[in-house]
Amino acid sequence: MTTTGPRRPGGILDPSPADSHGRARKLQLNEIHVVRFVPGTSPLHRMWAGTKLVALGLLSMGLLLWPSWRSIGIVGALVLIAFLAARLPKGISPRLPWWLGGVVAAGALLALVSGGQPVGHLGSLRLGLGGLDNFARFSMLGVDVLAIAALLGWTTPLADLSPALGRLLGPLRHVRVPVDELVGAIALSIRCLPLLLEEARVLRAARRARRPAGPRSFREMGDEAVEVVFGALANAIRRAREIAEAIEARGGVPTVALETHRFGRIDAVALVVSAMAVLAMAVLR
Amino acid sequence: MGDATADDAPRYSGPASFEAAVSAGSTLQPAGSTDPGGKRAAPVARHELRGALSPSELAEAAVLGDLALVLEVLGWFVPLVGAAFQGLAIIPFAALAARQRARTALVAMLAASSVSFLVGGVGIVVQTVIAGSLGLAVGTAYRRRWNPASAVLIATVSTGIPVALISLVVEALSPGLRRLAFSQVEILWRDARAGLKFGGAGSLASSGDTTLQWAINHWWFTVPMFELLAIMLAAAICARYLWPLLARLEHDSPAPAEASPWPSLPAVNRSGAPGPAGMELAPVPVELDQVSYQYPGSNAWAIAQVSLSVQPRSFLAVVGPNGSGKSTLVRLVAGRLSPTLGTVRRSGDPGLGVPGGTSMVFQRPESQVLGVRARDDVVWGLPASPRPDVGALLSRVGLAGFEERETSGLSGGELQRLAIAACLARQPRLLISDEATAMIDGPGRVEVVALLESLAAAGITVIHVTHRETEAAKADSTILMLAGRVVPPSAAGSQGESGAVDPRPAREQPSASLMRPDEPEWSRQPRRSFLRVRELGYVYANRTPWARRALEGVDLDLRRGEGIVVTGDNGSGKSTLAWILAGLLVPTEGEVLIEGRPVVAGTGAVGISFQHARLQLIRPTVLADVSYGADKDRATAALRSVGLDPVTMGPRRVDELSGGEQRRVALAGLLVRDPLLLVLDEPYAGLDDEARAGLAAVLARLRDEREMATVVVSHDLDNADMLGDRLITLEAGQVVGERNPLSGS
Repeated sequence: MTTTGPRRPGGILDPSPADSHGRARKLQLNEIHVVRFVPGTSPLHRMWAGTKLVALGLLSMGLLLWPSWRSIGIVGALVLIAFLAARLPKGISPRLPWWLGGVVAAGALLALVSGGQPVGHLGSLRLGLGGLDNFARFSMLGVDVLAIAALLGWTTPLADLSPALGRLLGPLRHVRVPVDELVGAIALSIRCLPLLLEEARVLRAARRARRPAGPRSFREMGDEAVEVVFGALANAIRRAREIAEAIEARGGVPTVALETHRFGRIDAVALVVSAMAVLAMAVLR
Repeated sequence: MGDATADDAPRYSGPASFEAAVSAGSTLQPAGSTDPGGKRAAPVARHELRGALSPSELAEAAVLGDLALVLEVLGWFVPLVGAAFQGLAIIPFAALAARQRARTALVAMLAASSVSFLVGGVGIVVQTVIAGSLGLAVGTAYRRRWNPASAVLIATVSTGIPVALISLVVEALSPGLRRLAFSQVEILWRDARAGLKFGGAGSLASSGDTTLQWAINHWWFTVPMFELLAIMLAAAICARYLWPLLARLEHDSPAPAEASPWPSLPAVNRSGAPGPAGMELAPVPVELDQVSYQYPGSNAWAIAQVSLSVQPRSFLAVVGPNGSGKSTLVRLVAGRLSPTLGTVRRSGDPGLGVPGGTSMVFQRPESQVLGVRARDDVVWGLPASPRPDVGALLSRVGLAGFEERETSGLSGGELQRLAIAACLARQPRLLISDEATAMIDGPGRVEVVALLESLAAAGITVIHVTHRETEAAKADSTILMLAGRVVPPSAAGSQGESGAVDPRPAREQPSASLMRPDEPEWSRQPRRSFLRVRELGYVYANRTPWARRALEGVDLDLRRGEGIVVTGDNGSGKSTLAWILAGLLVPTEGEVLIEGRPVVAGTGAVGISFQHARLQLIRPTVLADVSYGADKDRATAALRSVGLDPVTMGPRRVDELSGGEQRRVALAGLLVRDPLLLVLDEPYAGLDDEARAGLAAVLARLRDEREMATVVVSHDLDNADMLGDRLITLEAGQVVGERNPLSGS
């Protein structure tokens, strides 16, 4: 489609129905609130980042191995307690994309239609409650896993994570794993992530701004997607070149910030609680 | 001109003279560089896995790993086809493995999966590891020029079999998870079966029943087999569709030649002791004698026959327009490059990045800073002891109390001063600012230049590269560079406003031909207002703990063909205003109406150009990009109207262009839509005076002849009079001043 014709005031300016109300807010990339620190002084904030990483790993493992309603409940309760203990403000939860509700509803409906035992009846309708149970368990598992990751992000400054990882991975040095190089790369990745997210935001905006009027074929959309990814790659490589120069200008050897945090009573409590939770999941499955 | 004599530093001397080299048409390469014939250079003789990462490997591992992660996260926000984005995460890893050693992609995969664990827990880690190891296999096979079948084989061995085995173990250990997953599959199948029966394919439905039951009963075979086949299929698809993309990437953005600053001194002791061969650290004095340099693969001289002497404790300014060879010159001084022709005489190792040696600060602020927190950044790359006094260093650059601040929230000027603090932590004898002020706002620039002056006064040799002559005022000496040569001071005249412009070689005159024509009669008549902004407000992350107000109560009216400049410091809300005017952000309060309707992105009524123009270009060549959504005739006309020749520029590849050229191409791409309003975000960033004048002339002509209104958002008010009739100043999201730039100032 071209826009060579004379401009019709109501033509190209005509907003699509979804946008005409103007207030149907789209989710913006900069509004992902998962890895976003909320300053505070709660026990969860004072805890060593490494402890939180270990607890996160333990609980995720427990959920993976014994995905029962009881496990989901145990983790959910822990997350709720931790959330309250961290005194995190309301309104912190990530805004879920609008279509997610639809997907969940459709999934639940499909599960109800074809679900297994136990079966309920609503008038003449046969409802597979077992299927619904299954679907709900599956969804809640995902919610739990995301919630514990989000708790980590809300209560831990990004800068604390790579030193903690360095200490946790320390023993691997004995088997000649280049831990320092790895932790250096992790630290640099964490540093560059906001730059890349901002570039993705601009890229998305640039796409929207240049989107031609009229329908496009799948092939055109595919070609465009390839070009978008290629542009992102070329741009990232340009960025990497600049960062490489900055690294060279600093002598080329990354050191990781020193780990200054002491392992305290809070950390011991958190680890014991997580381990007990996993044990409970194993026993109560 | 004289010959480049080969004297005490013979390893840097090339052929007898510059003229001889030029007349022979040779493309002389420093030893060890890439093959100029366009063929791939011989593989760097480094082990795939052994040996620490080089700076460029580390940087690419971090950035491309992040890109993969961003693609996966984006997948969450795209309905239904989100999984495709997760497949796209293979691409950055494959590109990395195609460019660098396997160790780089391996580190990138491990780093990205660690970071993804922090973003989204265990699930996304699995995705990242699979994408990473598939990308590693496919990219390495490409780099080593293996055939597609071996790519599939390697992916099977490196990814498919481990994934199959691990999932077998997990399923065996966790019957709960297995049953949960299978009953989910069964439910989906029953839905599908109902559909099939409804569609009259009952036999298919019953055979599906038995197959599924068999598959579930033999899960220990079917699940691993399914995964193995899926990964083999993915590898085959990558070899078929991704390899062409990797080939294009190799052509457009070639992998960096293995960095070889001071090739004869590969192992400078980075702890700060003198390097091998008894070379003391002594970046200054340094003398360049008839030095010329040609980048590998290029046949143009970046600098030609430059002679220069840098004495200790001096403050030297290097001034010149874009592309005049300033950056190349200082990289030669820093020992980052070795001359193609001519001689560099120095008394010792320049020691780039080594304590007591040379330090450099570059152009783009956010690429300079490598630490997550300010205090991490200052000590980045320094040995664990002795630690410098971070607080004192930060207060020396005017950032007292910034230790715990996260660097991603700092302004451009603050970032550059932080980068200088990191330089000072190394107690450099030579500090080089390679256009460190080019991309930061006015107040930031003043602070950085004042800081450089104070360091020079404190006894550090400082070289400041800039395209602004006013910044050279305090320097002990200034050299002016034009087209790769140093222009003698007599010709350059005094350090005045326009003195240096005179000796420029007869430039092609895009600006002259595009200059605002004599004001025609009609242009003075009041034109119709088409844009109406009322009570505009915007809050980022509204209704969350991170809510941050960017704009408040902004009113604005714009007439056809009118030009305004919106200015303000970092964080004043000017970029937010640009995004809202282009319909890319929906106002939190108030309204933006174009011709009485709310503005919407993508309708063509408003075009917006961003500072990083590469992100706007979506086709491989200039003409193809500008033709996107339009025909060829309009595209060539648009290229002409931004001062680019469609014949010579049209076929060029967008990745070969300079940042300024890319910005012009992006502008041409907007013009084909014939917008009512053009919004330009920091169009001047990194451009020299001549390029600025050219761009301003283009915009003036669009306003006069095509009645486009222009809104330029900029913190840079040099030449602002050419950019519009009104100047609007924002402060903390509110309009605090409006004046006419022609009469004001």
